[in-house]
Parts: sequence; C-alpha cells; structure tokens
Amino acid sequence: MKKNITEEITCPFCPLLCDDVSITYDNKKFKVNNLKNKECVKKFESFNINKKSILTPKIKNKISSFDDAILSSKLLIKQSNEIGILNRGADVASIRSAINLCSQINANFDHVNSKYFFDNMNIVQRTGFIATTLMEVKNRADTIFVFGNNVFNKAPRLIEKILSSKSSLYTRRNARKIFLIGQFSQKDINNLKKNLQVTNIKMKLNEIPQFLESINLNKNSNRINLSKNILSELRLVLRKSKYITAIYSSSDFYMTGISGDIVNSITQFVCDLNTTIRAACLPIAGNLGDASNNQVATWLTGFPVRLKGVDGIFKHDREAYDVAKLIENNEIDLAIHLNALSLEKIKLNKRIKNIVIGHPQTSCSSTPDIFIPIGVPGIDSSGIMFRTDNVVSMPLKSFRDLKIPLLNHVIDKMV
Amino acid sequence: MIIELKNANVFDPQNKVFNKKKNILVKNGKIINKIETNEKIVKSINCKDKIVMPGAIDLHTHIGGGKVNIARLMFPEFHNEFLDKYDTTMINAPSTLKTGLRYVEMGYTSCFEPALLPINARQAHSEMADIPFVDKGGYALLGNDEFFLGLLARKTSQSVINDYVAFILNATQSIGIKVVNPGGINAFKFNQRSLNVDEKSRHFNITPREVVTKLSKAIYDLGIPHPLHVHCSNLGVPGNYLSTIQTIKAANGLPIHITHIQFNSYGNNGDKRFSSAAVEISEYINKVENLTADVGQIMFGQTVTMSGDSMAQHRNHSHAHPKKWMCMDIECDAGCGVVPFKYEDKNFVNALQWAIGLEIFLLTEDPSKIFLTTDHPNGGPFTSYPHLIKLLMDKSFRNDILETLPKTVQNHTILKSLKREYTLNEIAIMTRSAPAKILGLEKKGNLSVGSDADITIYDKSKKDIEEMFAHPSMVIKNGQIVVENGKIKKYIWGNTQTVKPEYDKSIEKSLRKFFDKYHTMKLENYIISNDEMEEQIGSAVRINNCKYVRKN
Repeated sequence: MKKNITEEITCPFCPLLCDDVSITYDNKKFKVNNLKNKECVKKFESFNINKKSILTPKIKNKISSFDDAILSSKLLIKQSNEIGILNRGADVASIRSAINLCSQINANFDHVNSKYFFDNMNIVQRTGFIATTLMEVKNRADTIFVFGNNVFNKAPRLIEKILSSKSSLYTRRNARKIFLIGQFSQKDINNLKKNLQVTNIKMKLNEIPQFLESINLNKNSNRINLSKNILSELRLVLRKSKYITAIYSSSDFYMTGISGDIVNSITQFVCDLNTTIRAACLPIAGNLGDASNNQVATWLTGFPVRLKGVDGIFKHDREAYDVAKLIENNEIDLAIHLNALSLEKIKLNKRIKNIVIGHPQTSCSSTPDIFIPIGVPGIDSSGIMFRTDNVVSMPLKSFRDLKIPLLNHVIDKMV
Repeated sequence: MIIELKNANVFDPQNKVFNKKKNILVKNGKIINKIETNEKIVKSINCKDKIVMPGAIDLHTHIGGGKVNIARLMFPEFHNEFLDKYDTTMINAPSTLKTGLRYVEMGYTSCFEPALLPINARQAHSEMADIPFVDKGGYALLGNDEFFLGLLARKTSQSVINDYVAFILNATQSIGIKVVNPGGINAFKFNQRSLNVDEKSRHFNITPREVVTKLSKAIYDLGIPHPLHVHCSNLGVPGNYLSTIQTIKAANGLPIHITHIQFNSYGNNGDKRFSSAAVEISEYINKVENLTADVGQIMFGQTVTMSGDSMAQHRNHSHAHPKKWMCMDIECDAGCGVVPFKYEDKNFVNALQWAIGLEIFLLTEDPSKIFLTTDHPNGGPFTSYPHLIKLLMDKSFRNDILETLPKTVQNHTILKSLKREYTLNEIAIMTRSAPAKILGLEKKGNLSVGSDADITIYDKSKKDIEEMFAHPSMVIKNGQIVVENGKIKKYIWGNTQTVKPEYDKSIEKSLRKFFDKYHTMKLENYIISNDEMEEQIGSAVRINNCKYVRKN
C-alpha cells in the first residue's frame, strides 16, 4: 500500500499549534514520525479511525444519511424555543458558521472553556496589561517566571520548543533563569533542569499575590514566609534581567476561588516592572480552539463569549448565556454540541434534545437525538486556528479524506 | 444587469470631469461606454438632481488585525445595542459587520488597513474578509523586525533588501509597506524609551533614517505604486515637526507618504511648550515633489487609540481614559498598543491638535497630496468624515466651532485667518482619484470605461453638506446596487487588493534558515497563498500592477 508522507503539519490539539509534525498516512492509518513527546503523538494518533461504522450519521441511534440527519436537525431547531450551541473545539471556519447560525436561530453561544477566559478578559477590560508571544520568549527572555501547577501539561512542548530551545537570538539557554512558582510536579522540574537553571519556589497558589508584592521592586514589603535572602536574590535577578516573562494559565488558579486576584497580581507585577525594565506576560490558553473562538466572536460581534443572537443583533452576558449551565438547569430545550477536537466524553442532559456534530470518535454519556460525524480540522480539512498568544494564527492542512463533511459545511446547511 | 445613470452631475477628477452632465452605463461590475444592440437597460436611474462620484477610498483606517480585536474586547460597552445608554456614534472599534455597513452607507467602497503585521496577516485578512461591501487591503509593517534590522546591521546590499520587501508583500498578501516608529518598536524591546531620527538603536546600532532610506529605495526599485507609508518617530511629542522633516529627507527625494501627519506637526513654543507647526509642515508638503500625507484629524470625544508603536503607546498609557490599556511585544516582528483616549474640546492640547489638523488641510495647496483621514479610530471614528468635510468646505461652520474653544487656543492657531473652503472637486480628488492613484488602483477612484463600477450618488438637494456626505442616496459596488435611498439593499463582499512584485527566490533560503532557527513556525506556513486567501480566509485576491519589473 502506498504511504504518503506529509511534512510541516500543524497539530491542532494544544495551545501551541506546533507546525513541525511529519505524518505518514497509508489510506488506513496515520502515524506521527518525528515527535519525541509521547503525549503529543498519542493524542494526535488517537484520531485514527478503527471502524467504518462511526463515519455514518445517526438519528436516535439509527443509521441515516447526512441529508436526513441535517433535515432532522433543522426540524429540531424549528421546534425548539431556546437553543444553546456549545463549542467544544472547532477551527475558525466552523466558529464563523456557528455564530452565523446563532444569529439566524436566536441561539445562545458559548465555548466549553470560557469560564477560564474571564480572568484574562477582566485584565484587558479593567486595567493594564503587557503581553508577549512565543517567539519573543524564545529569543529574548532571560528570566522566566512560571506560575501555577499544570502549565506544562496544557502545552506539552513548551519546554522543548521555547524555554530550552537551543537557538535563541539574544539568550543562551544555560544562562536563562527559570523560576517555578506554585506547585509543579517533580517530572516538570526534572525536565526543565536538564538544560536550564531552575529554581523551584513551592507555595500554595493563593499565596502568589503576596509573593509578588514581596519581590516588587517598587515596594519594600515581605508578606510571605520566604527567607530574606531568597527575596533579595530575586530582586537582584529582576534588576539585572533584560527581558522578564511571566507565564501562567489562569485555569490553574480556578479552584483557588481567587483566580482573578492571582491573575491581576501577575499582570500588575509585570506592568510595574516596565517602569524601569522590560517584562511581559504570556498566558497559556487556546486549548480546544478557545482562543480561536474568542477572536472570531469578537471580530464578528464585538463581543467574546458568551453570546446570544437576538434578531440579527448580539447580546453578551457572562452569566446569562453560560450554555453549560443552561443545559444543566434545563433552561434550554435543544443543545447543539460542536466537537471537532476533543476526545473527552460529552455529558448530555437526557431531559432536553441533543444534536452532536462531532468527529467520528466522539463519545457521549447517552445517545444524542442526532449525531453527525465530521472531519477533524488539521487532519481531514484545511483551516485556521489561533495559538496561545492570540497573535499567530496557524494554517491547518488536511492529509486524510474520510468522505464525510466538515463541521462548517454541516452548520451552514442548518441555516 | 445593465444600469444606466442618466443626466448625472459627474465629478470624476482623474478624467478631468468636474460637475459635468453625463450618462454612465454599468454592466457586469464594470463601467461601459455603450450597450450592444441586443442588450437592454434593466434599470435607468434619473440623476438630474444627483451628484455622482466614484466610490470613496479610505487609505488609512484600522479595521482589522490583532490590535483592532483587542480594542473591541476592551470595550464591550461600544457594542451593546441593548444598553439604555448605548451610543450609536461609538464607532471606535466596530465589529466587522458594522464596519462594512457604516462605510458603505457613507459611499466608501474601498478601505485599507495600514498596520498589517506580517506575523498577524492571516488574522487581519480573516477579519477584513468578514467586512461586507468594501474592497480592502493592507500595508505590511516592516522596519522593526529582527530579520530586516539584521540585514541593515550587516550592511547587506539594497538588492537583498528589495528581495525581502518583495517576499513580504507576496507572503502577506499586502498592497504596500508601512514603517511605524522606524526601529523604535524594536528598540523598546531592548528597553530604549525614545529614538530620534539620527539616534542609533542600542542593540542594532541603526538609525531610523537608515530604515526609511532603505525601505523607500526598495519600494521605488520594486515599482510598488504606494510609496513607503511612514508613521514617523516621536509621535505626539512636542517639537516633533523637526524629526518629521528629517524623516521626509531620509527618503532622499524618492516617494514617501507620511501618515497621520497631524500627530507629527507639533512645535514646542509658547508658554504651554506645545504649538502648531502646521505652517512649516504644509510648506514642506507644498514644495517637496514626491511627498504625500494623510492628516489624521482629531475629533472631540471618546475614542480608542491603537498603534503598532508600542514605544509611544506605553509612554502614553498614563493618559488612558478610561484607565485601561494593553501593550504587546510581537514575535520579533513588531508590537502594538491599545490605549483609550478622550479628546476634550476644553483641553488646550486637544483643541490645538484639532486646529493643527485643519490648518494642514487648508494650507496644503494640492488636494492630491493630502488625504482625508482621522487615522480611524486614533483621531476619531471614520463616521466623522462627513463632519470633517463640512469643516473643510464651510468656513463659517469651522469658525463657529473655533469660537467655542478656549481663548488660549485661538491665540495659538492661524485657523481663523484661513479663508479657504474646499470645493466638491477638491473633496472628490482627496477621497477618490488621489488615493486610487497613490495605491496603484487603476480601476478604482475613477469612472473610466473598464473601471470597477464602484459609484456613489449624492442627493444634491440636501442643503447640509455634512448630511449629503453622510447619507448618499445610492451606492453601487461592483455594479450592484447595495444602498438605495439610504437603506442597505443587498450584502456583497469585496476583494483583497494586493501587489506581487517579482523577486529573487534565493532570499527564501536565508529566510528558511532564520525561521527554522529562531521562529516558532515554518516559513511555508507563514506564507499565505492565493488559494488560502480565497478558500480559508474568504477573500479573493486582486493583483495590481507594479509600475515596472525590477531589473537584475
């Protein structure tokens, strides 16, 4: 059997959107050729198709044609009073289509990760913020603070590609100082220690604001239980640094109950540093296309999530249009789940109608009223997605043809 | 469908037609001179009481890209039409849909985003593709990117620089090149807080003058119609008119376009250490042959400033109103800053800025050298253009507003002594034929046979010139009636205007090396193809001619 090798494929399954993936495809299965990171390989290859039966649409668990599934969906939409569209991972084209559908059928629209986005959004909407991007960090950052506990799981190749990259315009990797602030695993620490100077400062995540106040160059306070020596050493490092980066993922702080305060303390710390030196933040987001979702929603409507279409105009309300909550509380009678990227099981509310438009491997807690399989962007279709820094949007390539439609095509037909 | 505009009072400056009665025929999106014997006119429009001009062109308006989306995100209150206090005039960072609607309702049919970061080009084009009605294009930002500054620092030959500039234009699907605070954005990343025209940047040891000289030469050599589009050093700094003049001189007589020149026409005389240098600047515009400028007029009220000039935006963030702002260092390529601002008519500096912009308009003799912009939304929203046109055409209206400004301002401006009133001919030149010419849009900004049928029809009977320009009675885009009696009739989408200069492909070899080593994406994925523009981004590409093919 002929094997096709495709190079420079963009992996759409984490916020980094690495575009150096080499794939071999033999018309049945594809294989990642070149990645050392086993988690990335596993995730990518888990979108291989093992049985053809999952490529057919189903209405009430019975096989149907695509046309019938779309017609039935349109009927369900027509019969419903209140509809919620929940994006569980999609590319730019599908988000454009979903927002158009939302406008046409007066639906609520949300992304499954939106609750993690609001802390960063508050910073942009209420205070000051200095941000940076992956390439700036790779080439310029000589001192990097990483806050949280789970950043390296969310962006598995962050260490390999950015923090300990051999090539950098302005910093040598063995001179780069990394400070881990929070509760990082020994595995992460060991990974970093291979090539970098790492200092692990263990603390509860809710202590981060006090810690940052204690090392603020413009203040002279010690509000945390750390030795004076460590604090003065940190201040010295800050003063000598040329470009400081603060990396964090606001979802790491979600369980503390003060995630907003933590994010605010990090961003304000960075703003303060910039009165005399250069520093910037790099939030890690963009999982399941949430960065793409917010970018597209914002340019099309003026608002990020959460939205509701009302006769061609959009309303925005973080509480009222929380689609996951609307589903849970039976406040809508039809949920449309869009799932082009996630392998996580979708929990359906059996008391309402459910349409799932998802990649063939999609699994649900119960049988949806309608299931329509669609191609995976970056495997079955070309497309565009936004990276964690919200600046670089990457092209996705297709290398497989399952003869099933794409998410945006299905949504467009429902209008 | 064939449309006939009968007995129109036509203003078509490129064809030297000024208020002449003419019939215009439109077929398949183009202007034609006659119909075949077997063809029928489907719609004939009596334009006896109408003024007919080509569709207007905005050559500098921030309508797409990362910074625009940050501004949208920063101000949900600008978009919430359900709020009781929703202000319909707050068109400062409108959604893509509203951008298209408001432009076409004013008779604008082409708009150009002036700060398209190469690394952010895919986003900027995606956003602009979602703007209905208008054709669009972007100027790629160079002059602060590590690769270019590296070429300069190594004293690389002009021909290699030309190849790089041509590569960027092709790869980013742009129509021109802009430089913002030449070298300054990069210097800010090395913690330099200002950079004058002849001051060397600390890391690269390069002056802004060198950046402007090399880029303007590259554009000239490549035959790119649009001159280097320059946002000068020291934006907003009192006394900056001197560095503006030095920046113009850096082009060594080659074509150069200074953008939002109002923000770079400040003296530092007088008790407030802030004064108008409009006389000096407009004298310069009048006498230097290859120099054009757009004004960047400020309008009183709330706006949000957005710029690639992160050095200036960070400096200005303490003036943010309301108190929120964002700056960004971007991919060793550029930067950006978004800072909301309120121009107050009772504030001396803001009121004088208003007067300086108008002084420049009125003192510049040739309307084909000066362009009507507010640097949307930096000086004010593009929806204020009809008001600005009235300020230019109506001396007493202008003077009445001047009277309401603080007395100290009236003592610092010569505005009242300027008797000039722009004519409709001059407005047509500065908003139609002249921008089309300096962008190289041969088929736009004129009503020649074979040109694109982008036409605006104004109601002559409207007594108020502001009202006339705000609400044309009909707008035709690509030969289709999209606005009729001030109402949207049909949604259509325009194209992306580009240039594709030829270049020696060997530049891609060194670029690929640079990308593989230092970038976070592959060169092949950085390049945006025509197919991607059409199929993924959603806008077909129209390639404009370069004046000549570069000689090797």
